[in-house]
Amino acid sequence: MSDGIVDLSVASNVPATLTADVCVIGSGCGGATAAWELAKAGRQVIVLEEGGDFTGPQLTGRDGAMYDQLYMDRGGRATEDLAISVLQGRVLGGGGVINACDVVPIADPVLRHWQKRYGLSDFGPEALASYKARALEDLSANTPREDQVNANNAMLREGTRKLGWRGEVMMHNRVGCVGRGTCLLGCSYNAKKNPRFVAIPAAIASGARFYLRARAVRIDDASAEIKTVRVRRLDGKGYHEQGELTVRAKVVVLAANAVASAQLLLRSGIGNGHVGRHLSLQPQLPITALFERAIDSFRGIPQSWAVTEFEKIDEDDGFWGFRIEAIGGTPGITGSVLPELGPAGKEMMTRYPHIASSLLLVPDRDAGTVSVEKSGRLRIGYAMPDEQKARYRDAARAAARLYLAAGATQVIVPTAKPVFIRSEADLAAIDGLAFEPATTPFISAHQQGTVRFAPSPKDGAADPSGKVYGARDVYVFDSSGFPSTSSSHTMTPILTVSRYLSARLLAS
Amino acid sequence: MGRPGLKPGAGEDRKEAARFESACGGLPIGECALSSALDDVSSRIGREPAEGGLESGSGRGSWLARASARGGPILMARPISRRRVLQGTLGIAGVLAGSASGLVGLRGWAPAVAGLRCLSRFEYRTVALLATALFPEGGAFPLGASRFDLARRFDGWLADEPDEVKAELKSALLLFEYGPVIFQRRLETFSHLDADARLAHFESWARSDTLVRRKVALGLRKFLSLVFYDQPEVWPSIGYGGPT
Repeated sequence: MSDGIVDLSVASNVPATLTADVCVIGSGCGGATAAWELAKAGRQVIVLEEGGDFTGPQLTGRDGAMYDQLYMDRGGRATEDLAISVLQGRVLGGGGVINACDVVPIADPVLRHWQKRYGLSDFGPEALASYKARALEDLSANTPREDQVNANNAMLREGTRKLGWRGEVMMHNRVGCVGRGTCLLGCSYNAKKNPRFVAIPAAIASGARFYLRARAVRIDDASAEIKTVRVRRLDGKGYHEQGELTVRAKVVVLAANAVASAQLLLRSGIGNGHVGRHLSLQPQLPITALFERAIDSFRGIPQSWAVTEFEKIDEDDGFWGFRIEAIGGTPGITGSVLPELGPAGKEMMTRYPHIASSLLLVPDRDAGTVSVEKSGRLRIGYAMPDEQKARYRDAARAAARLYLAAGATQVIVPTAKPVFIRSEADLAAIDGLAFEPATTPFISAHQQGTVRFAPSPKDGAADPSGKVYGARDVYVFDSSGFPSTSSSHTMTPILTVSRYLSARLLAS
Repeated sequence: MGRPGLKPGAGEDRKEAARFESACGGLPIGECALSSALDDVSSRIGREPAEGGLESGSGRGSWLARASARGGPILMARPISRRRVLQGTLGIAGVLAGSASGLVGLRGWAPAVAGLRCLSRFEYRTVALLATALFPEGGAFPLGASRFDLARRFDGWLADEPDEVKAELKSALLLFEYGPVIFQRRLETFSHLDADARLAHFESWARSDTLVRRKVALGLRKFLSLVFYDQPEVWPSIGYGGPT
């Protein structure tokens, strides 16, 4: 372990009680950025991270080991009906380590939507402009070169152009990418300019200390000047709890993702009735297409082309409509999504290099909840409204048309009763998709809401400075506070808002 | 593997019966066809068993690989006669009328498996046979699940999960094993079905109208698929060069 990073699974000389000015829970985009800003301003900062530190060759690109080690609940987190797989990082650097590197800032109309509909007058585009610019700088945001748009993305782009629809190459935060293609399992070339390589070293240089395999399970004395965060030490794999310690701090900053931040507040009995409500999962539906030519979607940048024709961004509804983005998957995750099994499934996987894939991203609103049982067990509830299901059907039809236009021989909607589309005449089969729970491999990578910012406790769980109502100096600096979906990709919005709220905290 | 495992003791039976009742407790009453299964018992008496005698586990290679290659059930310890089937069926019918513990007899025997951390031999058998149904040897490429002992990997994974997850998944495996009895009014548990019927049984769960069955199918399938296609030995067959 380097200076400033302490792995509690092996460290033997850690006191039973640690003290700091600020205890940050979570080391991802929100937590690492807050730690950096607060430490730079001279505050003593301790950051708690449940995961381990994985860089370079430790990121093996193997599905089994990496989902086990880099994702919350070993990759198995899901809504209680198993309808949606909830992907959330559990590693030093958080979701930035295992995301697809897409840099999509909060659009100004979305911020105006937050002002207009949710009363967040402090979140105007003007107030956040410099923080947005700083986030792009931290990420070394750049646009992939033409030769970095791999065949999987190029197929989708070709369909987009043939149909005359709008689309774009998304910005990303890779520098020195060699196209390994395993971004969702981390980058062994350390080419992602994520918090692990930007905010965390900077925070450590300013004196912050990061504790790994540290599971925060409760915050006590939330109304007192000094809060006590109860922490369980985990073993080296993060499977089992093996001891306890406490952190005493004046300020607690929650940045553990919209699920885990709400979970910790609920376990601690902190906050009002809005805590855990208003969860947005922004579920994404995979869709695949077969081509005669080899696509090799598993090589190169997995996600660079987005079809934006059907997305709607305005101050009335924020981010709405739907969006289609290419995606490449490693064999394990691809095999678990394709609908066929047995001999037919094996036959399908022999065509793996010829399979193009994309995700249908449909923004949602208030459809989910986070709750905690008496035993402490997490429950993620989600009831998908009919209107949202209709948008998935629209998106599936659009994606099928795109792939057919690009020359696909077959498009597959991988539901339990899969839909196979070989021509536009088959599109009507999509009309019958009901998306009943556990029939469709929905995934969520952009959880938001649950501790919603609002100017009044009757409308949300935290005030516009991020301070949790009903507690003293307990804050949320992550996507938990977003009153509606911020963007198609939350990395940049979280970086932006965390730095903004950190500045406000220091100013106060 | 040498001789198959011994018949489980009464304590193990009681625990399984309790888990079974618990697992069934989450089902809509209309879905549970225990009484219908009981009604079917008499009509099935006298029917020849679908499979003939089964060898014990002597010989080379794992019992799973041999059974998978043969495509037949692998759970009985020795050849069974029609007379024994009749006796057993009548016995089961009697016990079924009394309690869920009667269903335990339908599972037959399973070979002992050394070194399991979490699964019972019966749970291991369910997962192993499901894995070979989902990823059989032969077909588009020779390798199948039996090569990688996916059930042991499942056991290793589950052993490090929290207790409530272990309990839920063990209940799920029990429910899945007895699925043909409960939902299809058969007198055979999953492990007694032939290879094609095992796949069909799984697919019927994946496409079921009942959420609990879809959840069980989805959860098992995701794990097994992810681990199977994560094996470097499989990659050349699917055109993947690995994470270079």
